[in-house]
Amino acid sequence: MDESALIDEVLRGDMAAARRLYDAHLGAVFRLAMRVTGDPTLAEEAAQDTFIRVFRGLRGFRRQAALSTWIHQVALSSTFNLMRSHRRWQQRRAEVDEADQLAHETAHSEPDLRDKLYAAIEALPEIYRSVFVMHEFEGRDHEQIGALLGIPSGTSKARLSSARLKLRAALREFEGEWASA
Amino acid sequence: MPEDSKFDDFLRRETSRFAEPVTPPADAIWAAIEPEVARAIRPQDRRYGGGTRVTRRLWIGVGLGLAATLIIGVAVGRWSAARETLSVASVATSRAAADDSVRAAAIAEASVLQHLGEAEVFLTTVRADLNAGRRESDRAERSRQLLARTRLLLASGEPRSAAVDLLLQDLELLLAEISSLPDSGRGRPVDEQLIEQRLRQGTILHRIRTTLPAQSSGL
Repeated sequence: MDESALIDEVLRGDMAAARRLYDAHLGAVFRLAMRVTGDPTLAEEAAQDTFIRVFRGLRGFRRQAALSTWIHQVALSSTFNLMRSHRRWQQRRAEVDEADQLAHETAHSEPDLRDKLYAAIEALPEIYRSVFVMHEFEGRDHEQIGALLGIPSGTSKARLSSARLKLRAALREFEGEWASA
Repeated sequence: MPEDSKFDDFLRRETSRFAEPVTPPADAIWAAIEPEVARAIRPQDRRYGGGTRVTRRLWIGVGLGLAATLIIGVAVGRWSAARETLSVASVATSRAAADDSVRAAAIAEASVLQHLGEAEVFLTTVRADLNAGRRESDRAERSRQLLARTRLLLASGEPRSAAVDLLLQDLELLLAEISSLPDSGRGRPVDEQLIEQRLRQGTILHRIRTTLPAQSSGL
């Protein structure tokens, strides 16, 4: 069954079709969330958020784009949102747990720099962010990225290079930290 | 350039920290979202008030467009005869547009109020359970569902008052804390005590309750 027919079935309220759509994309969503969060519980939560948003937004999905590309964008946004609120939660928890040293668990390895990196990735224009995340977090090569996004592999390379330059500019004030790490 | 290479090394280190493949718990994730998915894909009622927000807006837009076209046509036709007609048409058009935005705001307000009502019931139950030392098996799952909906409301971009936005943000943090409490007895009592204390002495339940009766005021 092609993608468009599957979407039509889902939109008729067919839960079996919804499950098929979910199964087809869960692996990629979870892999992305896992690579960004590094935590199976958070990745699970990000996958939940992603699919709830996907099914809620499916009626408005414009079918000119591939469903996988749209789901990837939703997954990325959900995962970064989750990381932001998790960080706020960790900070509050660290405050109350300072006495029993839990703060050390949440403060390893340059948290400010990592936060700044995630914020800078999220702030990249979509065309650069997608390529950067697919290449750096998901380990896809330019041929795969080009096929997924419908762009030549050379464009993917150029966008990755631009993304790195933009990230480097955004993290300039932390240069001492990443250069010495 | 050495700095380029150092920066690339830094990026590679940060982005490949968690590269080990992990099998997603497909059935567990599906079980958690299934009710929301069913709600989201349920075929919509075609009568007035049904349809998704997008389709509703589309129809409202089409209706407004037709109304505006009709009004403008009539107005242009009578313009030379009576300038007063124009002002009537313009009042009618702006009233129709105002009705649209009022309806959209009412829908958004109702969603938030319904969610806050559910959260109030849940938090009150959690507070009573923690106070009595009970552990409800569905507490974590229910808090995760409410947490997911809170995040969706926060991300929806609907206009809300700063106070309600802040309330939703605080609710998000509290639900995240509650969902992290284990269902079994392995949790640290201090975590439960802190949450129980915040529910008892904090302002969140009070703020939810004072928001709920004010249904006629703008959110």
